[in-house]
Amino acid sequence: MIDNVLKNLVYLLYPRNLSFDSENSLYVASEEYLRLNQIIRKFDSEVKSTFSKDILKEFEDDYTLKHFTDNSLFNWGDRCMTFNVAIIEDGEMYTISLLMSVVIPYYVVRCTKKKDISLFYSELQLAEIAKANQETRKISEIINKLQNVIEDKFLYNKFPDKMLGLVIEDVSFQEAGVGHFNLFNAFFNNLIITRNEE
Amino acid sequence: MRKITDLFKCLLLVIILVIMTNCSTTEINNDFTRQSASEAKLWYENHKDNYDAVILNYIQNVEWENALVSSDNVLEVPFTLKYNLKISNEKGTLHNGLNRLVFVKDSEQNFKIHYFQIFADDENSNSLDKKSSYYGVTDDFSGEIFKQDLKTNNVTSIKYVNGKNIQPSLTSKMREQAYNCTFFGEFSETGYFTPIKVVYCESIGDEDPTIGGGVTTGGGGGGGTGGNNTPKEDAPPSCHSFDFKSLPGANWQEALVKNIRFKIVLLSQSGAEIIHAVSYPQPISFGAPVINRYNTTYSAGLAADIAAKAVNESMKNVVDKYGRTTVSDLVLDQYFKERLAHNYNYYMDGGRVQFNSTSSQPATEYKTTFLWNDDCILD
Repeated sequence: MIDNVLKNLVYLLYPRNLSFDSENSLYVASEEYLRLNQIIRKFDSEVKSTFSKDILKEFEDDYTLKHFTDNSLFNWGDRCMTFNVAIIEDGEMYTISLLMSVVIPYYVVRCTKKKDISLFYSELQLAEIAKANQETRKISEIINKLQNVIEDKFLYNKFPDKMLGLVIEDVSFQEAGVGHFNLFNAFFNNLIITRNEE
Repeated sequence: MRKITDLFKCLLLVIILVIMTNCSTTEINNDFTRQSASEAKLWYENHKDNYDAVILNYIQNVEWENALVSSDNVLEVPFTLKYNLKISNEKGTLHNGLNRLVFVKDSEQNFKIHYFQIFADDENSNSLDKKSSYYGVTDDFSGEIFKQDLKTNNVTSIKYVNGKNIQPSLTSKMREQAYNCTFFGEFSETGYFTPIKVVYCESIGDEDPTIGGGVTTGGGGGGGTGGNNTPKEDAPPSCHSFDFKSLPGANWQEALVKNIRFKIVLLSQSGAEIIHAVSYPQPISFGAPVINRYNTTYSAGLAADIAAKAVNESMKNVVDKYGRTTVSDLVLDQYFKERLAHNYNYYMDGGRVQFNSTSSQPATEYKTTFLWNDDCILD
């Protein structure tokens, strides 16, 4: 039922049966695209900076989350705000990303392990970081806290995992071609996510 | 009876004599070899910095203990290469290469150093074993031997077929390529050689050898070439393609690159091989944070290095999945986009990628590199 509602919403914001790549001039002239663009521009110019400040302020006492940085990319056409923080646990580097849609009151938290921490840190540097580290929580605990705050204080809902990969067959946008555009792309950004890793 | 015992005694005596003389000869040889080797080693340690031949930077270990004296004043010493590199020609048809530093002592007790490479043809690879010396190649040796004078860096090569020295006539040599180069590189499991860096080139005339002639684009994502072309492995992305610039007032840096491209061997409907060029003339944006919560700065050089790795990995993903299959441009394009967006985010903390970038930042031209140690971090 909910997926129908969301699907209908997608059709309000993305033209059907138009290829973003090969029919781009038609695409950007469509009323759906103009509508989407308007929502993003309005958010960016009127709401974004207060919103961002509010989010960051909420975590200013948290040892890890106070380091959240606002990496939102509305000028890339993202449909969400993006907050990132790096965290090293057990010798591996992770990026915790909080994505908050500007179209619907839903959020996603992604935690991705980086391929090779040695691209960033030597063994010696890692030892120094570990020594200075005062974070006692595991990443899963930190994420739990993050989610609770976003839900309780900002009244956003967690976007159901199962539905993120739902493909909208006749829609394309940016890198997601026809048959590859899913609900995550519709409401967040153009990253194709495979699995959440923690 | 007596005759037989006498015979046995004689035989025994002969055998003993032979063994004794052999032993002493070997002993003398070993001592002489060890002495020559330590003399050459001392000289080498004191003088190697005066030479600028590329090979000297890639020597992992000189095996002085396995040195061979092949005539009065010639010492051949095998050595191993760094990073598990192999050496072959551009097409990867030279195999089983043995590397030797050859020291020739002159009248003033100084040494001339040469670099010998001995390649044996596959069919005859056992005509050469690890302990073979150049001067001791067997009578049925087939292959090619390159000799580089490390003082002048000049190279000459000689082909052998069944022990016979094949000297091509001057005219046939000029009809072939103007240069004959060997490369450091890697052999894949299927025997495919990827050249990475030139060791040296033997040149006829004054031409400067280039590797592969560069990567060419097909027109706008399409463009197959005729089925007779040998697919050439692309050079990997150079980190110098990426010029990351920090955005003012934001913890963010971006680089825009145009003409990212690579080649893939596909099969036509009839099963013929075609070389397809996948190319992106429109700029692709790469974005990453500048500083992280551990106060670590992601320098422009580091971001570039990582971007090059992610691009390389993504190209490999496409070739691995779709190489030698029959697929449309569209499928390749979609898969490359997915993989690049995923890989850059996987390698780089907070990394993002956008195709058909709308940014006004000037885009740099995509570059590839054959340099083994292409590095932007220290820039």
